[in-house]
Amino acid sequence: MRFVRAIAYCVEEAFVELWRNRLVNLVSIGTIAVSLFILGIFLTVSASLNQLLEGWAGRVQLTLYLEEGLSASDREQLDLVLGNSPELESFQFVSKEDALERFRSYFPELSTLPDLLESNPLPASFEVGVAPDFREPDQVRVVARRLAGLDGVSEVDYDLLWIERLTGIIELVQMIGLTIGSALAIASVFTIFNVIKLTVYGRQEEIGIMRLVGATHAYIRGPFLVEGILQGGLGGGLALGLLYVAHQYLLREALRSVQLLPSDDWLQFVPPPAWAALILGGMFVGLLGSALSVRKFLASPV
Amino acid sequence: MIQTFHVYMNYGRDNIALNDVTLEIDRGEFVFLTGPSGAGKTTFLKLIFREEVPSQGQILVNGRNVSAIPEAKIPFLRRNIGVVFQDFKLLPRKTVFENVAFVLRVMGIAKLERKRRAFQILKQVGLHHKMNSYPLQLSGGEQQRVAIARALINEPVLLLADEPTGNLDPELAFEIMSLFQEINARGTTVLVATHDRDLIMRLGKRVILLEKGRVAES
Repeated sequence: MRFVRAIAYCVEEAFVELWRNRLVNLVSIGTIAVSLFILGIFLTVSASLNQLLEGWAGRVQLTLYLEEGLSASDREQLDLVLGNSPELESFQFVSKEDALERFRSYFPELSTLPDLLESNPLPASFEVGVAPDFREPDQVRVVARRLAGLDGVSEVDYDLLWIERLTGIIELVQMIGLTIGSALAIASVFTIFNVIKLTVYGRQEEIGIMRLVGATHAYIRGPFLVEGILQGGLGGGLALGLLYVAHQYLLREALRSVQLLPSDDWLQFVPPPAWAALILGGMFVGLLGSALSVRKFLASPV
Repeated sequence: MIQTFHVYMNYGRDNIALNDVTLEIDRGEFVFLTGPSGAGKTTFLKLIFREEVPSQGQILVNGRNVSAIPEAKIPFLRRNIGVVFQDFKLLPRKTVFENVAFVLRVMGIAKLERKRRAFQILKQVGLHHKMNSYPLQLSGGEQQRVAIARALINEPVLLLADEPTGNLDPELAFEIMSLFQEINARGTTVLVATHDRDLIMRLGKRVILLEKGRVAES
């Protein structure tokens, strides 16, 4: 009970101080909010790109072109091998005739071209879907190499270029976000450090009196730490709010206007665990700043 | 209650505040500490609740060597010593109630109980109607009485008062002294630093006279 009352005391005092110095405190809350907001922007974009990537990766398909004049038994053999491959999710045989049919439907204006050639130039093939656990570009390459070595397969075709590019972009976005975000987080720690320092200086006499009438060091320090945590938490909350507004009205619009948006739902708002991370991260930054400040400027307990 | 052995206190080389002070104050005594300004009265009080540490010598308060108390334990020493400071040392941004009950709050006592005890003690100094005022809204004499109430609220084993009647008219001063005597009768040792001769004469208690940092009379 005593402990609960001590906590209640710290929280109450922290709120009073927060309100009393609201202008200065707005600065530290603002700095934290800006840094977490920027971090959040990058997180949103990279999370969304990731999601987009997953959608694309789901369509990672390899085409195994078969050698001309493959016998039915060879094909059955191939069928068996593909069926026993754990890296594959699905496979489908496309005969020469099917291929021709598709060609004609894709390119109607060229539909007479095969007739001119007298024989069907299109090879038979297997269209193969890669299982979810093997969709990383490196893994896809390994799978492709193995399939290319199979008897009766003349060539394996796949398109990883876009996926690789997007993976690179996501990594870049994350790195920029983390760099800027952590630089700003450090700046926030210093802002809080200085704001708390000002408060400590302003209350030097009061603190002295509290000590003289029997307040422990923890009791004197507590409110400052809680104040830092509150500043950080409020900064985190503010960042989340800004992020929501930015997400709703700016990011989506911007991406829609450059027609980067395949559908409306891919640019997701940061998920709830990230909300918690933003707010907790803010609190941590606040606690760190105030703890350093209190440690430095409230050092003498007598 | 208080024993000092050859206590010296120097502030810098030439500024000697206390010079070989050895004396003893028993449990339950009521003692006046007097002497001209600058004789070392305030310094002596500060040493007792360890606002200062002596340059030399030992001080025992309630059987404990004050200089040897670890820093973390100092607040607990102070909670058992009520101090009325010459300049009151009230917290300007806290109400009279909050000031008076501060030590109770620090000790984790519930608000209802704090209110009850603060009201009781403020009633004794005649300020119970100003519980919710702020110190700066009060006169000097009223602030002094708030400081007195704060010193008494935790029923300390030792009460130190530095010129506690300096801002009070004689009648009120006498009332405060009666209050101190009452506290004293309940077992609290009282040490009052004052140069108010009338007051000392009227009460007829033990007097320690300090002159230039030395005990001239005890």
